[in-house]
Amino acid sequence: MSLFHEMENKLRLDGQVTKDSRIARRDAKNKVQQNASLNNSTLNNSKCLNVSKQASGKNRSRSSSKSPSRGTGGDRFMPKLGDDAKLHALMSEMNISNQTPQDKEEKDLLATISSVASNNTQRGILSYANKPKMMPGSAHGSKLVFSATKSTKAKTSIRYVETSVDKILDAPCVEQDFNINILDWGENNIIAVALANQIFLWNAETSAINELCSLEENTKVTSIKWIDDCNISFGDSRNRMHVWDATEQQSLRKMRGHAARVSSIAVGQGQVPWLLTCGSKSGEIHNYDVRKPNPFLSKFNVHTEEVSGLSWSPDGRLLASGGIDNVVGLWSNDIGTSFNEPMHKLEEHQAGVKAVQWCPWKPQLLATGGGAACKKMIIWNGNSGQKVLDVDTENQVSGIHWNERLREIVTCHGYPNNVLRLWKYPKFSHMIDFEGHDGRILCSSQSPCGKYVCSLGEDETLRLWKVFFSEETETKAKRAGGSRSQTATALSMRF
Amino acid sequence: MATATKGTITLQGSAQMISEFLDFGINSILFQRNIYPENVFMPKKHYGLTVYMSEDEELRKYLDTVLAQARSWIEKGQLLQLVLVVLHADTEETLERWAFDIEKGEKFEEGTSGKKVELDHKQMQEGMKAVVKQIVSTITFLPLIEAPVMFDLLFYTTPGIEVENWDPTKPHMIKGASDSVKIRSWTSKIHTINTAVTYKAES
Repeated sequence: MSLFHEMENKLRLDGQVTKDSRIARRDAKNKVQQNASLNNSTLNNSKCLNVSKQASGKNRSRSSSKSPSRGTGGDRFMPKLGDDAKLHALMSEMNISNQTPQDKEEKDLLATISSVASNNTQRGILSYANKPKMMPGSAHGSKLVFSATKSTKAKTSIRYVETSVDKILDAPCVEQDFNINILDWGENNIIAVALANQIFLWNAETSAINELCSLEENTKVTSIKWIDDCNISFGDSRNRMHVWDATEQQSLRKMRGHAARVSSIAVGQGQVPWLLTCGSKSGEIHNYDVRKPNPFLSKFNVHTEEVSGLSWSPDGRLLASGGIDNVVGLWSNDIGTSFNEPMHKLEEHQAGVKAVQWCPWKPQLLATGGGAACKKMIIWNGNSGQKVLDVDTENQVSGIHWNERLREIVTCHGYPNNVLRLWKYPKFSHMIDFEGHDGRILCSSQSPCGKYVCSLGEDETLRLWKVFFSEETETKAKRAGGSRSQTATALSMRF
Repeated sequence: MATATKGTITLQGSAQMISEFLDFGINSILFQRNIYPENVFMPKKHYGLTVYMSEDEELRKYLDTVLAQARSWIEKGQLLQLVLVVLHADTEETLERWAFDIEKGEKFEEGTSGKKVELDHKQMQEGMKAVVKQIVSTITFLPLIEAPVMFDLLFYTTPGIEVENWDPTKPHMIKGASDSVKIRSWTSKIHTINTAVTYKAES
């Protein structure tokens, strides 16, 4: 709820300004009225005025050599503006000509928000140098974490999370390239994983392993994505895009046209299930209609380096792209037109962005994760392009997965810890880590039932983790009806 | 006291009252916001209210020193505002700002020119009590501070003041969206103190 408010506020930046400045405006008005009686400036007043006028020159040089004060910008309770003469004197010194106090305060507020250091030093800010020792660990005794789960229970729900790996599969010859996306867990409960030039399908229900196809020697598969229950698309190092029928094990089509390998794929949501959006090493994003003989629709082109993350929002309105050039692009779903500029170009990450994931229950929330130099997961408002908050994950982020049922998020990491890290929404408090991988987690995917996450590591293992299990839902299912429910849960995952 | 219980107050008296009030206010904030652990504070009765004051020597010495200086500045009309900033211990990010404005009261010139000003002491104390009460009640809406924090006291003075051991410092504004709540004011007729808290808007 508060997250929503936050976003609302961000959308109405101007609204917020006026709301707060109203408080200050009231103050200013009161003061002006109060001090109107002091029109015949007393000795004290004029002294103040003179001092400030004279000293301002001295102060400016002083402040420039010492700590830069942001001046009166943004301190809403600042206005000590007395009578009009003083007002004008102060105004001119602050290089604001003929503005009413209201405008000035709004401007000050905006200045704070955009962190512009003004040169105004009407007052000094002093602080005593010999500070008392701070008491460490004086955080609240009882660390209450209020979980935003759907349950209306007031007490905090503690969830037992099994952090040891559930299953390990061998993944030899996995391509050790951070920028590619060679793992996808489809709605049909089949994990598709590419090992060098081969694609394997692992059926999570039956534990059967099938080889889908084998490309030519020295051709690597560089991206995989399930289109629906039986069709799968993948890109290879020869810059081709393939669409296969996984049940029939047949190639349906090959698409060429990319200048470089396709390393990320996003499938259209909702109304456009035939849409295939591909991000390439060239930085270009192509939109394809897989039904048409000539499938190319349009090109989105802003990235200057490999597009390693790509995702359509669940409502199908926005495409988020993450690139190795540290840029996140937000594109509208006008897929018939080619664009050279996204709707929003977000450049806050300090490293390549591979993890790009929309929130399933709040369609305008986007989470992106930065690489080793960045280590931050940033939550954005996709509509406005504004940052909602950032979370320091302390690790290179290679994947992010939201869980609607439990309102939790798991981030998959590379350097330095190679863990999966679980966070509670909306506070993004760190819950627990899943350790086990000996090498960077390159790719990850969530199960269709929403309970498991599989991660593909540089250590040549594909690991399954029971991330979003909750005893509540498990016992509820068991209680619901003896053997029937047991087989039901068993069907979703059997090893 | 006689019927119209109007006492008088001088500039020095007013400065004294203000520094006492600031002492209680600051201690209340340090206690309520858990900036110092609870065991450091002892309840003391002031203004008919129980205020938690710190017993820690270092903290007491620090507060005594800065408030004595504040008192001297107020007497000279040089202290404009006192701000208590709550900073994240590791990132030094400003989480909260408690601002106490020291403004000229109704009878400011009278007081500063050395005359005694008529004042109902009881009323003034009620005012101070109300503010301290409100500071305590802010815990109901202020966002929970989960990180270890530290505080600093910023003294906004008229420019040109230089005192040994007092260094110019940054204003420590809150970055990004913030909410602000104005708390009541109280007056000693010579000065009026406005209190407000600005905190980082919760995500």
